[in-house]
Parts: sequence; structure tokens; C-alpha cells
Amino acid sequence: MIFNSFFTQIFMAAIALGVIFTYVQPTFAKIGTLQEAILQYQEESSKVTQVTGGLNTLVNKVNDIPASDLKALLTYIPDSIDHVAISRDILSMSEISGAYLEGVEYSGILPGNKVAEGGGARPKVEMVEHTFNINLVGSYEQTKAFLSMLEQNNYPLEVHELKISSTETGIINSEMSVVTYSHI
Amino acid sequence: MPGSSNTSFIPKRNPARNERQTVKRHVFLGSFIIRILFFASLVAAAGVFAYETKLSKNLDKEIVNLNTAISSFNEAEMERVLQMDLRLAQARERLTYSASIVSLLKAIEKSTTGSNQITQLSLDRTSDSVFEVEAEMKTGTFDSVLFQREVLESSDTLAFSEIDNLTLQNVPPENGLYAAENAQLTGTEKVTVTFKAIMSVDTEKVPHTAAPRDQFVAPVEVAPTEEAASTEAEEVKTEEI
Repeated sequence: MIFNSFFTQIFMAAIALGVIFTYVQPTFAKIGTLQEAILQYQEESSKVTQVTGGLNTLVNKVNDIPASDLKALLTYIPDSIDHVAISRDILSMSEISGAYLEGVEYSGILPGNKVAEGGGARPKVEMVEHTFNINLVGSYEQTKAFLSMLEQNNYPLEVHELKISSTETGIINSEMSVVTYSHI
Repeated sequence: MPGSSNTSFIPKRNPARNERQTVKRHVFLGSFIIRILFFASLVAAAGVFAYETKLSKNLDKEIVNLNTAISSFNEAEMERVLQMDLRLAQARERLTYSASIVSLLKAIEKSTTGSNQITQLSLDRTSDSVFEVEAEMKTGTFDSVLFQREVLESSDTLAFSEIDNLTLQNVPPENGLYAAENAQLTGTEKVTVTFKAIMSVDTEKVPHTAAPRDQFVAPVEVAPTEEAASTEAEEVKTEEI
């Protein structure tokens, strides 16, 4: 029998070892790498699908926001402010409150202007801050009415500095810095 | 011839001992192992080849899946959502720290005693959560100052800090303090005590409660569309009419 030949057996053993070491073992290693790669791709695909799903949910939420709410939000924090319109609003408020508006001046965006400070662990949310300096003359009640109107406005007009001094005639002179914000 | 058969030179075949001659095949353990090894290596090679091919196809499929998933991701929508989120966060931030100056003035009014008069009030929002308030006050007696301090200290809204710049101004009578020895000095009517009350107020204590009104809304600057422009023009015409 040819299989019983010593040389044949040596040859078979050599072939077997050669196949094992030159093909089977490296292929095994490659299979490991392929399996890992497949797992990684599956994981990444799953992540991307998850993110896409989450994004779709959020997009639907954004789309579901009523137009009136969206308009209110854009009014509250607009992309940019119109300082002329805001000055006009301040004048209107002073007229309605009965106080006399001596002056209103837009100071613009101050250099290194502070942004809204987050308290504690809250992250800071950056906004552009616009300051208006207002001089107002009127009775105490008129001044309060004016301040009340500032607070009831549809976009923020925050009083950051206020100096009230009274005269002997009971007239109140007010100097204030009013701040409003716009989106970055 | 008796016994002649036993003397024949031809060997006789013994029928009872008809033994079959079998060929012994020697199977060596080493050669058996080698054969197993040989065939096993061939089978293993074929198996790993098939498995590797299958895995390669799977990998290609997964790559295609990932690319499809990535291509289905809409970056513009993501940007839109992020912008909206930032805008909402900004609005929430301002609403969280919204405070009412009117409420603050009311709290100061409530904490000011009748015998004290505020001549000057300055207010500074040093941070989003705190107002620093300085009220320059005038009164006629030190007792009023002490009482005012007590009232400020007991206030829930105002965090009273200190009384500063306390000065007494005593105006002498018209006929001279020393010249008119008999002059009756009423004293208290002419004494003026001025002081500065320094307070701090948390914005949480003076929350903004008034509902917003529409009439002071400044127009939002957005890129005008043709439709909006035409609507605006129509509105202006209507107003003119």
C-alpha cells in the first residue's frame, strides 16, 4: 500500500503541518479580526440608527411646536435685535406710563460682554447682551408703572442698574441700564 | 498391505488441522495519527476557507448597512434641532433668573418705616441671582434709625447687610446757639440723621409674575420673504385707506 510507505507518511505529515501553519492558523487569526470588525460595525450601525431615530423624534418635536410659540420664542431671543424698534418701544412705554423719557441710548454690545451666568452645576448658555441706558423723569407711581411695563414686555428688558433720586418737588429722576438679549 | 499407507513418502493432509493462513496487517499508531492529521488539516482548511468567505460577506454587508445608516443621518436637521435646543436653553436661562424690580421696590416700601425717607436709591444687579441695593435715607432721630434697622433685619425679602455713612446734621437756631442763652432749643426739629442702608436681594425672592403683553413687541429681524413683504404692503395699504 502506498499509504504505508514511510516517505508517503512523512510527506503527508509535512503537508498537514504546512496547511495548518501556513493557512489554517493565519486564517483563524483573520477570522477573529473579521468577527471583531463585524461586531464593531454592528455596534456603530446600531449607534447611528439610534441617533437617527432620536434625531427623528426631536425633529418631530420641533415640527410640532406651534407657530405662535415659535414666534414668541423668536421674539424673546431673536437672532439679532433692532435697537431702533426697542428704543421706540421704550418711548411708548414711557408715554403710556405718563413718565417723561429724557433719553434712551443704545450702548451696543459691550466688549467682553458677560453672558448669562449659569448657577451651580448648570452649564453656561451664551447669549449676546445689548444694553440701553435710559433717563426717566416722573412721579414715583409713573416710574413704577414704567418699570412694570418693562417687565411685561414680550422680550426681556432686564433692569441691571437703577439709580433713583428724588427732588424736593416729589419728582423722581431715574437712570437705568436695561439689558436685552439676542441669540448667538 | 497393512500399514502401507503410513509409509508413503507423500505427506498426507490432516483434515482436522485445516488451518487458514491469514495475512497479518500491521497498523502502526504513528501512521494512523498522520493520516488523521492529514485529513483533518484538509477538512480544517476547507472549513476555515468557507467560514472566512462567509464572514467576509457579512462584513461587507455590515459596511453597507453602516454606510446606509450614515447616509440616512440628516446633518441639517441635526443643526436645526441643536439651534432650537440652544434657543430654548437661552430662553429658559433668562426666565429662570427673571426678577421683578417692581416687586423689589414694593419690598423696600414695605420695609421702610414712616419716619424714614428714602432720598436716593441705587440698585445693581451684580449677578443673575443677586441685586445689591443701597438706599440713602433721612430721618429725624437715632431712634428711627434703630427702628429702621430692626425692620430691615426682620424682612424676609431683603437680606440686610449694614447701615453705613451715618451722619448727624444739627442746624443751629437762627438767633445763634451761643448768643441766645435764653433761646429755647427744640433740637429735634432741626436734627437730620442721614444714613445709607445696604441690602442684597435674591432674584428668587422677587419673582417676575406679570403676564407678558403684546403691544411693545419689537419686530424680530428675519429675512423677509416675498410673501411676507407682499402681506406687509397690503396691510400698509389697508391702514392708509
